[in-house]
Amino acid sequence: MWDTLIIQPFTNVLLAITLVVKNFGVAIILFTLLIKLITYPLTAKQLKQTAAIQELQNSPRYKKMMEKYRDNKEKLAEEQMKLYKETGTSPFGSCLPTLIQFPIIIGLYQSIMKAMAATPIEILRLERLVYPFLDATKIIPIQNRFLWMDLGQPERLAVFGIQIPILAIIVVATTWLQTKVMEPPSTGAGDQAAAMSKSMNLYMPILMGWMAYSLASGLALYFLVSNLATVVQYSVTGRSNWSKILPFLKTKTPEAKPAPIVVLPDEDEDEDDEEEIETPKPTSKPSARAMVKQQRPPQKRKK
Amino acid sequence: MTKKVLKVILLFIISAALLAGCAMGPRAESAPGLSAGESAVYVSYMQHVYKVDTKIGSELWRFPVTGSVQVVLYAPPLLNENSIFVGDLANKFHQLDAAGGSELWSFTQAKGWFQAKAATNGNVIIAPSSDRNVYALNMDGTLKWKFSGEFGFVAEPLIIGDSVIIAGLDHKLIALNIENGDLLWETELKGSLIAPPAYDAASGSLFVGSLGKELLSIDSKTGKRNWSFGDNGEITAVYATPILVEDGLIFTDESGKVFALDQATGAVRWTLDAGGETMAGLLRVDDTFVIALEKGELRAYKISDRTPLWTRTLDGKLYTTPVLEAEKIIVAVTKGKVLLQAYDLAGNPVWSFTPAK
Repeated sequence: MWDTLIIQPFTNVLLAITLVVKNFGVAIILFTLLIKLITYPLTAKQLKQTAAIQELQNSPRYKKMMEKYRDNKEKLAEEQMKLYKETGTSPFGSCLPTLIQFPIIIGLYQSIMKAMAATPIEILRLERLVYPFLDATKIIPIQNRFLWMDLGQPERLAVFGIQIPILAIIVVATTWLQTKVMEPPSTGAGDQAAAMSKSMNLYMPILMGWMAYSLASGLALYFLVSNLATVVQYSVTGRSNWSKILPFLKTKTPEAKPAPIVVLPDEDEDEDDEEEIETPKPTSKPSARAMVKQQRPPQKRKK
Repeated sequence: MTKKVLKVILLFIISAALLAGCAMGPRAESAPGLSAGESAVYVSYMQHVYKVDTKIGSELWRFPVTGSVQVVLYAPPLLNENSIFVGDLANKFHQLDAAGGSELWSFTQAKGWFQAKAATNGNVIIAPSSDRNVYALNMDGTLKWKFSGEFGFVAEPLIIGDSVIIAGLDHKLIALNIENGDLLWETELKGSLIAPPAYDAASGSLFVGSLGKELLSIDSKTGKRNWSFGDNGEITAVYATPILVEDGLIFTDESGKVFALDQATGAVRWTLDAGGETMAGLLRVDDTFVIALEKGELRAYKISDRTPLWTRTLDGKLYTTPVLEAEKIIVAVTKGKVLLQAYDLAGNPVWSFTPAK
């Protein structure tokens, strides 16, 4: 099922590209970009949802709620769900696009692995995967020389007799760049998202670098293109945080504060909730939903 | 560091480990490499080469003694006098002492895997590599010459007098001068060549199949085609070497169809459907041929009238050509409960071998 629905079509597209461009390295690059392009709507949706959740979590109402129900987790969860419902967001909203993308990413990785068949058994399996109209005899073996690399082997470039893993180094750099660009702005001390991002900045480049160093360079090339494509996707959607990498891009104006969300009291709210929550004047552009709420006249609670 | 951070890191490590196959050794899947000689069987699989006694199936030695995920061996070992020659997927080629399994030397200049069985004439060792080179080594392990092709090599070389015949993934069958590696001739086929040709010394003909759904007879002196079979879509891909039977030859294609052809003309004498896909070669035992099917079945047929003699089923897949040693048919199993299974000539199980951990 997995092979028929994901691996076989992916591998055949990759091989078809290889047949056209006559170079497996270029085919990996084009195929990775093609998959990134196809999954772009999902990525954009995920980014949008993540941003909405971040915005919400930075709002005074959310913070106040967190503070208020610090010792009552059940009530806190209930209130959080209520808030998510009101604002039309969902903490799982960004998970669904990720979940849909996950098999595609795994399929992409596996199809590259399959196409780089190097042993007789792997060649046999690849031959069986190829659709009849592509003609496996013309495709096998795949010319896996690309620049100085043999895409079926870990990459090393001999410089003055020293074998340097250039591609692995570039993968480390681009993974760092990717995690840095994706790093959410910190909302202050105790910000778990920022702490997690900091850890990712450290561990992910090492992990990806080690994989690029050890595995076939065809996969390292895929890591590299995927990293760069993600950075471009983030930049296109305006979610990238380039000031983290290039400090001179930071504006000299005071740090923007998160958009406030005016509390709209619910009918069944407790007495305690009646007190009006102070909302600071917005210094940055509030979200569309928040703006709509700000424009509404304050409602009086019925007694 | 918070628990959440640890969870995220753990998740990434697990994902990466799943992607990398939990190990940073060579990412390749292949079948056991099997060979036999002097009442012993040698099998390369995963982290070791094992020497197994053919009487009772006990392990005599293993190389290396302590395995490493960085070193994987699939090439069938070559037995020559008191030595074993075998390459690995860590790009090294070794000479081992056949009696004790200790390493005598290793050749480390290759940049690719050694998957094919090596060949020797007693003076030169020919070791093809997936780094697109065929290495010719002196008996002390020093490089004599190397020949560079366009693609890697996975087929065992065939030495005929002063020439060595190499089947390549690049669709070419080539002949090299064994002394200096000079190209003597080359012939292009329709598809990649996975297995070496069979050689008939009387006619000087080579018989080789390719993934291009063809089987050719080629003159070993000039490389010219004598005839070809499969041009009308009669066969599927050929992954194994034919066996020679008097003035005929028998081979199997990937679909499990067995063909007997006339050596001189390529005319079909008979065909047989073995009932399953195969990439392993046939084993001839007198008037019997044995076929190993991918689905784990071992079948024996009488050559003269194609009568089915016996069928044995093993747990696992069969991709390796069975070998005959000390009146036993020995088969290597891929992903099975046992690594080796021995049968007598009537197909009765004699012993099995599973490496101790």
